[in-house]
This record gives sequence, C-alpha cells and structure tokens, in this order.
Amino acid sequence: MSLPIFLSAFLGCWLIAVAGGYLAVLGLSNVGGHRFASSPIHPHAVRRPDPLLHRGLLVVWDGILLLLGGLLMVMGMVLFYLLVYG
Amino acid sequence: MSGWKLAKQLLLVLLVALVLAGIGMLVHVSRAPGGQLRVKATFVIDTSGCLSCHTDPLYKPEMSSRPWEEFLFDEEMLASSTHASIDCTRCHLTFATGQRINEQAVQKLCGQCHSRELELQEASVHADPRVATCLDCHSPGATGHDIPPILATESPAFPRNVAGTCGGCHADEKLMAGYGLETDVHEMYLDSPHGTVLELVGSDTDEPYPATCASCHGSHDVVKVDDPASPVSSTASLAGLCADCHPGATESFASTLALHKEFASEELSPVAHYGERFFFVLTASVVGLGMLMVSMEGIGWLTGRAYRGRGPGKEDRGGGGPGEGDIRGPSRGDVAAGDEPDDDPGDNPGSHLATADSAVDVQTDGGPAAFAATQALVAEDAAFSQRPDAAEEIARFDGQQRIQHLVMMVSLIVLATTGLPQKFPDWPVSLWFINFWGGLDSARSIHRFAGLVLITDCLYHLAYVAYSTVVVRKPLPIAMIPTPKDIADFFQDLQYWFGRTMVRPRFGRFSYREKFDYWAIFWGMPLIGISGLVLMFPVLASKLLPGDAVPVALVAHSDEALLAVCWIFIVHLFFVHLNPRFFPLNRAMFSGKMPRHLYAEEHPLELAAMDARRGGRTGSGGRG
Repeated sequence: MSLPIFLSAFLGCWLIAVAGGYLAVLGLSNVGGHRFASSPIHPHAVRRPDPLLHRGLLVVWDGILLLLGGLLMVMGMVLFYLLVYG
Repeated sequence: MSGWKLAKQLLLVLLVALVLAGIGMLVHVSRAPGGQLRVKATFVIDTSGCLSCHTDPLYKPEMSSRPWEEFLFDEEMLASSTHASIDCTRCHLTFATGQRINEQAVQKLCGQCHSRELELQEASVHADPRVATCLDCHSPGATGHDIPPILATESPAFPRNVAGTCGGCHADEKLMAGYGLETDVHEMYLDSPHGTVLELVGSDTDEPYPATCASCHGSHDVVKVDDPASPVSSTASLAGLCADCHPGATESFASTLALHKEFASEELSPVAHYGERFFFVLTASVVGLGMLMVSMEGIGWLTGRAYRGRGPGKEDRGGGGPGEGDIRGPSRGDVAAGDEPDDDPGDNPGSHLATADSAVDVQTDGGPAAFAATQALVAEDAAFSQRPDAAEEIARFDGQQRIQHLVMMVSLIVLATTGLPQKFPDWPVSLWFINFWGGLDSARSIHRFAGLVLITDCLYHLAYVAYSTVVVRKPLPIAMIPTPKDIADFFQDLQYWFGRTMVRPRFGRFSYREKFDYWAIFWGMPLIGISGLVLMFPVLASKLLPGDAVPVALVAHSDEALLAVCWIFIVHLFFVHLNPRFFPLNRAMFSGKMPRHLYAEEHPLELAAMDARRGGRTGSGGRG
C-alpha cells in the first residue's frame, strides 16, 4: 500500500471514529438530564407530561447514541485494520 | 644545378607531400563519427578494425539483411568493459556470417576463459541457458559488450545489486510460473534486516554490505534449497553461514532469521505476528486520539474559543479566598442567555471540577457577540498579565528533574533520527538522515549509545525518586498517580472539544496529558530498552531466550518507538510548546519556573493549594 493511499485510508477511518466519538460523548454528556426533578405535587398544579416518561426516553436515546457512537468508533478502527491487513 | 632541375625536384617533393596528405586526410575522415567519406579497414580483423565500421551509423553492409543499428554499439561502453582488451574475434567466431551469438553459445564462449565458473554453472539450477546465462548476471544490457568488473558499482553482480539482479527474474510471476517458484522472495528480503541495511548502505561508502542472495545460495553453483548440497538446506548449515558475519550464531539464531519468510509471519513467529498487529491497532488508536486532541484544541485556539473556556469568572478576579474559590468557574459571558446553571454537580462528570455553584451548560451562541466577548477576555487577560504579582515566577521543577528531562529529550531526538530511518529504509528522507549521521554503521553506533543513555537516565530517575522519598523524606510524588479525576478531566475536554460545554477542566500539579506522557515512558522504557538490548546482541539473545526472541524484539522495539515518537511530536509538542500561551517555547522545563499568571491558567488547583499553605493568600488560585 502506497503512502498516500495509506494516509487517505487512515484519515477516512479516523473521521468515522471521530464521528462515533462525538455521538458517544453526546450520549454520555446528557447523563445529568436523566435525573431531572419531578414536577411539584399540588392539587391545582397544571398537569404536565409524566417526567418519568421523559427521563426514560432520554435514557433510551442517550443509550442509542452511546451504542451507535461506540460501534462507529470500533468500526473506524476495524475498517482501517482490514484495509491494511485484510 | 640548373634552375629548371631544382624546380622539378621541388615539384616532385610537393607532389609526394600532397599524396601523403591526401591519404592522411582520407584515413582521418573515415574515422570521424558521421564522416561522409570512408575507407574500409579490411586489412586486419582486430578490435580497432571492427570499431571502424561498428561505430559508424552510415555504414551499409551488404552481407546481412538485418538492420545495421543492431550491429552498432557504443565505443565507450566497450572501453569500460572488463573485456575491453580482448579481441572481438575471441567471441565472434561466426563473424563471417554475421550471425548473432545465441544463448547456447554464450556459456561455452565464456567458459573458454572462465572454465571453473562454467563447470560450477553446469551443475547448478541455472545450467540450462534458457534459464539464465552469464550475461543475465554480468552484463547490465545483456549484450556481452558491457561487462563491468564485479566490484564496479554498475555491475549486476556487485554485492549491492545482487538482490535486484536475482529479483529481476525471481520476482517475475510469468517467468517463475513455469518453475513453481514463489515470487515474493525479493520483497521479503528487502523487508528483512539484511534488506534494510542494503537499502541504507550507500554505494560509495566503504561500509560492508549485508548478506544478499548469493551469500547464502551461492552464485555460479546455486542448487535447489532442498538439495543436501545447498548451504541453506538445513538450519545447521545455515547457522554456519550466519556465523561468517555473526560469530557464534547458533541454529536457533539461523532459524529465526529465515529471510525468505515475512519477518513477523505467523509461521515464523506467532508472537511477533500478532504483536505487530496489536501495535498497529494501538498506534493507530493513540495517533487518532492525538489527532483529535490536537485538531480540536487547535480549532479552539484559532477561533479564540479557548479563551472563553478558561479563566476565572470576572467575579473571581482579585477576590475570593483560596481553595474552592480558586477552582474557577466560567466567565459570565460563557453562560448563554436562557441557560440555567445546573445545581447538581453530579449531573455532569466534569462539573464538580468547576465551581459547585456555577457549572455551565452548553454554549451554543456565536457570531459577533461571541467574538466581542472573546476579544474582551483576551484584552482582560493581557491587562491581568501586567499586574505586579502576575510576573511572579513559581518554581515548578527542580534542577534534577530538568536535567533528567533534558537528557531524555536529547537522547530521544537522536534515537528517533537514527532509528526510524532503519524502520522506513525506502523513504528518501531516511537515507538523508543516515548520511547526516555519517553512514549506517555510524548511525547504528550513535543509536545504541543514545539508547544506553536513555536507559541510564530512566534508572537514574527511579533512584532519584527513591532517594528523595526515603532519604530526604520528601513526600511521595503522588500527584503523578492517575486518579478518577483524570478520566473526568479527559471527558470534560472531550465535551469541550465537541461543543457540549465551554468549561475546561482545572488541573492540579499534573494534567491527565502530563500523566499520560509520564506513564507511557514507564510502559515503553522496559519494552523498548530490553528489546533494544536483544537487537544489540542478537546472537547472545538467541542462545538465552526462546527462538523467536529476535523477531519479537524487532517488532516491539520499532513499533513502540514509532508510537512514542508519534505521541511526542503530535501531542506533547503541540500542547506544551505550540500552545499560544507558551509559543514558541515553554521555558518551564528549562528554567524550572513558570510565571504566576500562566501557572494559574495551567495548574490552578495546585496554585490554590500552594497559596493556602502559604497562609491564605487571597485570590491566589485565580489571578489575584
């Protein structure tokens, strides 16, 4: 494999891994939002969507981001490995 | 004597002179290249006589139907040939018929004088003239007229050129298909330690050439490798060959250096094979991470964003006490309108590093307002650095540490510039570096010396730490021990780089990057040092260690070195010296001191702790 092709392959796979890293950080950095406070219990309080549902959806979404990001990161490295040794 | 008689005698002399001059002119013109007038030299069939026609492109022979160009050759080429003094007719016995000497006849003709070589060749795998003739290995143009001496650098049989000469046929798939031979032997040889040396040894030096094909297989007497007569038919006989250059070489040494296998092949050395792949993935990952850090941080510096992610809030400047107040929160300007401070520091893995009451959420604004805010902070920084106490120099490294670092830095630069060219011998810059160090032998000697210096430096450092702790009773340098905070700091930086926060982590005495640099040496030095010693004494190592110790050492040594050099030149230099705060040189490791305002930027937690110990200096951790 010539040097320009090698470097191009590395850069391409690196960008995939960086994109994965971005998604993974995106998922992880929202962890704080998984524990937002419940709405106050008051007889006259305006009914709001169930915070538990919000929290659950956020957890699922962040889990997907983390999983997808992790997979992309690994895929970038595996792809580069296969390009060189495959 | 009458006047008339004298006149006749003068006329006769003049006539003779004219005739002689005319003959001389004819001969001269006939020898001039491209001359229009020729005199055929038919009086003698010697070299000079042949050349008179065979260097003349205008000559038109009548005895051959083949184009005359086929019979022309360069007189200078013949003059440089080792056979320049031999008469043409010695080989061209069929001159009269104008026939070309065929392959069958070449061997016999050469054998007229080189009878011993002919005898050996007739018993070799190259005995059949259709396989190879003398000219294939001795005549660059395969014409037979251009046979340089063996030790002339242009000779195909010159030691430096032997591998290429053999590879000319043995790397040719079509040619080798008929014999069922592998075609990658030449490439594998070039990848071997001997091939590496061959590529780096200049042809105009007196350095010894490494073993080539002929060194092990023979030249005129090449036989099949499984022929008992072959020097490479067994590891025992191969060891004998190795011992010619590597005194004391054993069968173990010879078996691990079988050069027609990939050096780190699964068959030859599984440990080296998978070790090489492990290092490939490790290096690619670490370099990839370094590229991410450098590129994202660089973008922050170029856009001025980095200024907004650091520094104390305006309320912190010149006020507040040591300790918590020194762990600076973000500037007010960093908080985007509408963002509410999150009062739960546990929500953000890195937020506990900022002030507990001023953690900042994502900053997404931009444009002129952000630019103006950045400019304001830059101006504020500049004004701050003019404060009297901002110029205070704070001791960071003692003399011992600086000397150790200096020795390591110099030896590492020398090791990189003498070692990496040997890992990448086919890069043009590699040859330049090797020549810079005075040739391969010289570069290798310097490399080994620098390696021993580096090992000594590291051992000295261990002794220094032990002495400082046990004898001088200094506190153990636990600041260098990684903690969970380092992981949190790294994640905080990742969030910053990806635009998820504007808050940078606050470091103590050492940042996670500095700890990584330090502990990478602890991982790398034993590996690179021991493998280097194995490579320095391969014969001894092959006697004491398992069979594939040398290939494993080669992989570990060169790949770990590459990893270290990549990290140092990509990440370490970038963050330490190209950092706008220190560019073009961070003097801390050379002077041992760092200005207070820079210390506050780089190591605010440690500065706060130092000020606290000194009696609660106000505003110390930040900039006041």
